[in-house]
Amino acid sequence: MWGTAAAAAVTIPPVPTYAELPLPDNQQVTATPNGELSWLGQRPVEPAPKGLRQGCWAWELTTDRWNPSTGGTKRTPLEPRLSGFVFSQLPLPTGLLALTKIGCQDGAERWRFLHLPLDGSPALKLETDEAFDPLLYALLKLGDDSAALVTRDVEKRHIKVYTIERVKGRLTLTAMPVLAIPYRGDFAAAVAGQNQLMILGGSNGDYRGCSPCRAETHILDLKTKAWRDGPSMLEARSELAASALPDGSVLVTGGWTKVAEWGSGASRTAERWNPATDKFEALPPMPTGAARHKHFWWDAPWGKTLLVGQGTVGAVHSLDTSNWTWRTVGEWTEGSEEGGCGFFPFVVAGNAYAWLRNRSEGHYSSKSCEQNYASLSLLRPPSIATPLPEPPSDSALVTYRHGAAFLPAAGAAPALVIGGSRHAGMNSFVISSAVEAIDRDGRVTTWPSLRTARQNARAFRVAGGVLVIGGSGPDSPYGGERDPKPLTAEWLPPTATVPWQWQEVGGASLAPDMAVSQLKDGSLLAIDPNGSLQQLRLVSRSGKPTLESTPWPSLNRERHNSPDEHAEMRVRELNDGHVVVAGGKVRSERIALYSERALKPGQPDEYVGIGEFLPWRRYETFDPATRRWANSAPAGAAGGRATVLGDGRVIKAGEVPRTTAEAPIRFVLEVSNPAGTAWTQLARKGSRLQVDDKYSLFQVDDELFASGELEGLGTGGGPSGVEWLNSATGQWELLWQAEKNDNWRKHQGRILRRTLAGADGKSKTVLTPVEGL
Amino acid sequence: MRIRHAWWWALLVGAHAVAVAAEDNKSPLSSTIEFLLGEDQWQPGDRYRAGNDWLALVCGKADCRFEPAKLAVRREKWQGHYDDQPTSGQKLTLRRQAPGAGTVVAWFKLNPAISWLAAGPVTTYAANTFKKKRPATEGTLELAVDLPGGEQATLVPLLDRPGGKFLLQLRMPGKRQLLDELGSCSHMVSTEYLVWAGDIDHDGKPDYLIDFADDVGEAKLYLGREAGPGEIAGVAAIYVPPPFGGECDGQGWLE
Repeated sequence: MWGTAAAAAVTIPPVPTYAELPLPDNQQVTATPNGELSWLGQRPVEPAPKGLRQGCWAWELTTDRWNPSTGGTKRTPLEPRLSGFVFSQLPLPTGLLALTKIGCQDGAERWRFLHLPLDGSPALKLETDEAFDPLLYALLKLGDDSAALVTRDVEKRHIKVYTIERVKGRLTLTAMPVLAIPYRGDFAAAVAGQNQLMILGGSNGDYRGCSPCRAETHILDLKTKAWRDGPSMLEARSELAASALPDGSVLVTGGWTKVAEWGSGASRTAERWNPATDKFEALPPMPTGAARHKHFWWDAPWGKTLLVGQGTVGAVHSLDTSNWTWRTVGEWTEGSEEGGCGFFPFVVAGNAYAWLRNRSEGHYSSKSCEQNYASLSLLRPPSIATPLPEPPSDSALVTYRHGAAFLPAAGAAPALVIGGSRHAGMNSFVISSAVEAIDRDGRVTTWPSLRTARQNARAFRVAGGVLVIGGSGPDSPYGGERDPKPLTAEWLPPTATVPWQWQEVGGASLAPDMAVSQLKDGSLLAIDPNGSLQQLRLVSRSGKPTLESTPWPSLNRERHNSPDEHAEMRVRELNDGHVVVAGGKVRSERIALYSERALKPGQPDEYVGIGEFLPWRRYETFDPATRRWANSAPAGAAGGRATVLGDGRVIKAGEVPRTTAEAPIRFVLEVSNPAGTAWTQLARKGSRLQVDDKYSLFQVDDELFASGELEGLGTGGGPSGVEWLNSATGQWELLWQAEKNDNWRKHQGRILRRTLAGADGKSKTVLTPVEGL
Repeated sequence: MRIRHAWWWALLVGAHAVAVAAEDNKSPLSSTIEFLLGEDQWQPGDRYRAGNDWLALVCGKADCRFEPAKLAVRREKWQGHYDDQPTSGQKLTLRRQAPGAGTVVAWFKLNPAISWLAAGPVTTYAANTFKKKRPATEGTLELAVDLPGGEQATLVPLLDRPGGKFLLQLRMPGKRQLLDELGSCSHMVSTEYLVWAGDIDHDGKPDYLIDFADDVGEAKLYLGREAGPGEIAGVAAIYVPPPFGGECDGQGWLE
């Protein structure tokens, strides 16, 4: 029987089909107070007007409405009817400004601007013979009644800017001088102060990426109608995003840079043009890199929020401009190398969600904005916001991130999901600095993102705050996983601290592959692959959090933490104060070093480990009285993941030695006695999970869980089931399973919330990731 | 990549089991000790003659003895990996004259000048057929040899990091003696280096037969009586294994 979860499931209707209502592609929509999203659309005129030549389709403009919370849709033709096809639209305080194109039904193709006043007065129209690039057009708000159109000369690729303004009941179009520099469509344009427009970055290369791309900016004075060179950005960027902030500065984010080049994932970095100094200044980096993304403001239930998203990475981040704090607000199953097509936020039962529609990937001729590429995410309020009245449905407890550190809930403190990597289109993954909190009621909030993006980090509650150590990420000195260098640890102080932001921790830094565990006194025990141990304590040195290190006696054997090879090390202080180190790969040989001293009789030897690291069979136990490590008896099977119980028993799922290379691979579950002198095979009453190299045992809130694969579900390699050992019955109970043929990505980073009957008979609500710890 | 041609030395000197020590009075070639490891092998040259004048050092789980053995010889050429022309040599086949229990750990040529080379029990403290004994140290590749009178000898592989090699050291209380290089080709070490230890020449001093060969290298018989100043034992005979046709690639455990 599955454990229960308190939150009621909220049914969110699917995205309308194209036949029901085509959603706009990369256009701004207007959110109405009743929860509807509305935009200017178009539909074929039916029946087709008589007299049209063959091959000519007649289109008429419509007001389209969609309420994502109810699924309701509505299309209403403009009255009086207007022909045309919408290319771009911009909600202005006075009405909707749109760039449309009229076609054969009106005789010839022409661009037409429309202004649809909010007060219901007749639409204003302005047709023009000016040539705009039909693949590059952007409307930027200049004032309540005015906007700029940024487009290109199709042949020369020079940037063209027009202003469109409503004056005395008429629309007027003014052409600005051309910026005679050829550009791909990978630059950004932003309003930069009063009557100024800035072109930023971009390139004129043949390929996407930054090979090369530009740091230069150009500023157009809309009054004098003159271009001038602007200050250079701190980094050259293409496919970046830029927008004006309320203080008149310009926010610049992401894109491809020389450091974050095509293939390694887009850039996380952000900078800001300061009009007071006319220079760019570095801002904290985004939680993940992004390209082909956008900036938009959204009236969230927790207040007006600046969001950055809808790009290559399937995530949207918020930036609090009062303290330049980034948070990850929403995350979707997948990103798209081509970028997104639409972001549709809405509110249901007090919780915010958003549909993200991605562009299809694959062959370049087939990429398109199709509505079946839409996926849903909960939008997480910031932790500083007033708690929402109801938690979201438990099905929304998912980050789609791999390799995140999971810090279980402790008392009233929420569980935390920290960092990890997420999909960013095709075979690309980017590493994240996102932090989410999930309380036992299932409420999710977003916390300030880490300073450094990292995956496979470890997190602990230390000194009233949260300490994150280790892991690897793009900010490692040599980058990525090829040669990851130690990342600086970070500590988030208690929530009442101002500013409540992650702080770099000085002192000891930990290699990415170190095994770390927390002792009962709050200090950490870190084990280096060479078998040396250090106990780490967080102290304050000159106001800066610092890790102080004290050496411990080395293990008898060097032991390597190899999570990528399903050989994670487990370290635990037992109920009686002993410490057990199990798992990993062990270097079983030790050899004395040759030296002059080694030639002299009676001199002690200095020993080092040598040889290959092999799957473990023995674990080691530290006796605090003697301060020595002792080896356990060897398990029957080699290697495998382990979990250490508080009484000293170790459970492992290891591979049975094969007598021949052709013999089938078989795993066995073994448990040691508390003294570590013997192992026995463990019965798995009621369990349906397959015991193999994906089987993972783990503990949360002193309950034992197993994550692995259920036969026949075909989820493509990800975990498809989670079981809990009911200590009262001795039976394994299934807590969760994937649906048949689910894509494994659908459950990456999924958090389960289950209420279980504890050993003491009392019920408790447990939060645990489906992939285990 | 390193290429070892140690066997060329054997070809040049024309001796494959090389005597460097003698019997009681340390004399001459007539008293050389000659031994081989392995029952089927090719050796360069033509110095071996078929015959029944061999002894097999046969060991069980707790003891060893010399048993009569025979050698069959066939002319055969061997083409080395880098040689233009094949090398002339002999295919040697060694067998016990009467089948029996135990494992042959070495073959010794009878020599009338050496009285202790005779069939019968051999005082043995350790052999590669015995259960290996580890000394009470951290070194997992070290071996202990319990000696009469409660003494213990230890064989201690050492890692010479600057030199990029492994060395084997023989230790007795108050004495340490470097023997030779271990794992010189693969750069990996096991505890198979000790072939035998005992008192082969009945002089009351421990003797050791150590196999340093690792595709290249030699096996050496150390006799207590041959110990030089400051030594525990001295080299009395050397066995050069058949030539190695490959290359010593990689760095093994030294990487």
